[in-house]
Amino acid sequence: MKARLLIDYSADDQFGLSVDDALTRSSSDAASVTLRLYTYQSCVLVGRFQHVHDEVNLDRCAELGVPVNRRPTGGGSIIMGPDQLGIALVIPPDSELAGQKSTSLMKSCAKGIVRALRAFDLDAKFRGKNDMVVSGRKIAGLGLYQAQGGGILFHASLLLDLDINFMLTVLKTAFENTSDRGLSAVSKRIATLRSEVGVDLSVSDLMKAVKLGYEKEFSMHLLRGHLSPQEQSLANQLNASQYCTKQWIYQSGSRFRDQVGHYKLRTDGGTLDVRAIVAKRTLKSVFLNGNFIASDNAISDLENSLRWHITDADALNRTIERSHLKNRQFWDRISATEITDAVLGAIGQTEIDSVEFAPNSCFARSGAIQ
Amino acid sequence: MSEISSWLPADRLYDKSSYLWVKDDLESGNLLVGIGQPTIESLGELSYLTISSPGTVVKRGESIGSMEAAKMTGEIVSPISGTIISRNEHVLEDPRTASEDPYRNGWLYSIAPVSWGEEKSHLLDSTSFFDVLPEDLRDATSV
Repeated sequence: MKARLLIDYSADDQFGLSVDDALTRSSSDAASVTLRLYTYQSCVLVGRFQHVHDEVNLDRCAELGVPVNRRPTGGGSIIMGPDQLGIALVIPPDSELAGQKSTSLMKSCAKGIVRALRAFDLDAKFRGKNDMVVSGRKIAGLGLYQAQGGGILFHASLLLDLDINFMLTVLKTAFENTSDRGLSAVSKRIATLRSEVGVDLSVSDLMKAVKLGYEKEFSMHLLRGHLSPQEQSLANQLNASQYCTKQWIYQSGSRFRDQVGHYKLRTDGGTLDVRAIVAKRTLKSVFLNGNFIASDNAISDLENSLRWHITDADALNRTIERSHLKNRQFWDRISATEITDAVLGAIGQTEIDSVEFAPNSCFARSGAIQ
Repeated sequence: MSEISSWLPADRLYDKSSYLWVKDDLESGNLLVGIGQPTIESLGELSYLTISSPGTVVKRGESIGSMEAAKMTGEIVSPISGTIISRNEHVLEDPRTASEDPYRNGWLYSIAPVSWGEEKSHLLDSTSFFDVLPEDLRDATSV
């Protein structure tokens, strides 16, 4: 099977997003998938339903001349630039792939990247909601978006390298900005091609590997192509009507905003320092820090198992117990119950501004540090 | 057939493109539209949702909102042409309701149709809809 390959370097945020969207909306006319490999000029991209003011240090972005835009795909805020490879796989609505459940589709689409990373002897795996990991650390974020005509965009941002200081400067993360602790917390959770492979890989090397990975995975031959006049026209139209408008970038999105809760719990095994990001009844993510002793992989497994989890206490407790049991030898004097209490404490803190919160309820145990 | 009756209730019609259901709202004479179990099975829990304001005129096949579920974001594509009469405010405030109770309290919007007689023929009853679902979704009924 022949398919089209598009390559761009240094796309600006508006053009980069407009082309992905135009390809997806036009895909009902396409005979096969399109793979687009590209890099952006340095920019910040928030997820489809995020609130820009909650996610981005807009003053710092303005000072640094870093543009901000909004992706059609979900998930968290990211930085993109010359060292982050954008991978867009556009799937026509009538293709066999498009008929799969989203979970299966995400895994199928990710396999091309897994193959590419294995070519560098990296044991890459798809993990949880939408991460690709190497040695338990995230190396790519993945997303799926279905456009009006049924076409599907699979998008990934693959880290060739990452300037963590820059990320902590322009994004409002759950980590401490630009401190050694912030750097350390991010480094424990992130892998890059350059940190793992140990050579000065270029983005072109990575593009070649990803192209080959998809060709092998989907038994197809990717031929370098260009946008059709119709796709170019639609991209220009979307650029003007959507991706360069404040209405799109700064939209309020959903009825409610994500909230961040922070809670510390002192235990015999050390202090659990938990930050939770919550969207209504969905626990979007949890970050576990502190001076307790546990393996990075045990922490990573726990954090991952709680991504996009319902905030119900019993359900959380069951999930935490499962993860803790699986890695019990890697947790030193920290029980599943204590982790549950700390996570619920952090969730409780997010509720202060929105719903009733009883500070002396079950969330506040004797070990709590306020 | 009984195993699909709660998964795909027989008292409404289904759109094979958007996977949305459409049901007569006998009280108002309008139509209620919502997501069904196949959508939830495929996309995961809904966490964010927008729906166009009442008064919006929409054609079948056009987007009237957007959503983010655990596994995917996407447009909500109306299976019916007409005017949006109301949105389910409870679902907008707490989108998980649409996943937890999709066929009763989790409806998305009410619409006054303009071409119901013609557009009804594009929709499928529960049995026919079940038959056109991908195999992995049909298998979910037996889990």
